[in-house]
Amino acid sequence: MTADAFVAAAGGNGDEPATPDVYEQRAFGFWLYLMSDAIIFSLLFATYAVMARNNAGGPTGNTLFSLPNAFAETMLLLFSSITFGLATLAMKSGEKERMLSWLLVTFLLGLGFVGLEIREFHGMVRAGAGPDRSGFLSAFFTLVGTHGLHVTFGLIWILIMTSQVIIKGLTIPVASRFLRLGLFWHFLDIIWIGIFSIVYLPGIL
Amino acid sequence: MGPSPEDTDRGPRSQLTDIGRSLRSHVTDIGRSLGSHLGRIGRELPGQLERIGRGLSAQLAHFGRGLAALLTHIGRGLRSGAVGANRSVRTYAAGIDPDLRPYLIGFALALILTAIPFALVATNPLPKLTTLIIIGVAAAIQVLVHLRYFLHVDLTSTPRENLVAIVFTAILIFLMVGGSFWIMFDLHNRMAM
Repeated sequence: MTADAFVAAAGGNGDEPATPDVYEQRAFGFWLYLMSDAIIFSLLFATYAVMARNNAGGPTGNTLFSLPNAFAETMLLLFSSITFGLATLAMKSGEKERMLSWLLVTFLLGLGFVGLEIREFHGMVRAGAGPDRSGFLSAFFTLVGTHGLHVTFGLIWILIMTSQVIIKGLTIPVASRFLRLGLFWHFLDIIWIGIFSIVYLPGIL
Repeated sequence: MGPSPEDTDRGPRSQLTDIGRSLRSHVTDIGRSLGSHLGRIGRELPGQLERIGRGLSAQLAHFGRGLAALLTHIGRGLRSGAVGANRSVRTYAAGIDPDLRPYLIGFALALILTAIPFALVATNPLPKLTTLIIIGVAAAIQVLVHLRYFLHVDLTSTPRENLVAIVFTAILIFLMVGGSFWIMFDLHNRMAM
């Protein structure tokens, strides 16, 4: 992967004794984690698809979901993906300041996404459409909530990465962690494609 | 403690005064240097922030211009057929900064593949089944676009074991999700009989 080329070219002083091999292995290990996460999500998707019509006489997606809200969330995540990409490019050309700025923009976009989601969940629970209302809503909250939790952990990771870049500089281990964070963040955007295509759009239709 | 008699304690007293004096001058030094540091940061911060902001907006503008040009090219190509679109995008993409290229192309395609299903659901011009199929196809293509242009997965430069992991995951997902659907919907139909 491009990660290794960068690691080999960076030549900074690492804070751990490790060879490029180790980073390659870590990237592969993280890749395996992402694949197992993909399986978890696909089973949550399957659960949702089975439960989607079991609304127990309660509210359905048609009345609960808002198209503008889903669209705003989609755009926030897509834009955060692209700003993360710009941060990666800035890191590869060694521009620390620009990289941190794009990372900050990514963080704010992700925070906006989580904010919209919490507002949506809060509104649904207040309207009596919480996860305990029907099988459909249990599956909905499990699937979308798991994704939201992942994004929240991604945000925490961005904060940790930012402080590591500030304190330790763009060392090889820091850059390697940052590239894994990139895999995680882009992966979450892929899961979201599934969520708006399987949950929101068919629900509103 | 009361003041000690002057003539007996002159030695230690003058020593204490010395320490006190040097301590005071140290503290003043530290305070002064801290003040000048803070002052410098305060003076430089607005300029630095402005510079960063200018850099970001310049990059964003550059990105936006590239995106607009790319979308125009895709639109022009689409009017002359799919092959035309492909060629038009290729010629255009050859001119962009090679590092930025994958993100730009991926972003443009993702925008289009998101806009189509949302627009169809918002305006609802087609039968329900057709719309659902288009949503599914657009989503599948967009997943591939993200993998290719954002995660940089391709058949030549990605390590083989990563590709094997993807294929294995896809098979597992197919078995588990397909099997669940088979069982659950079959059960659903039997219960309804």
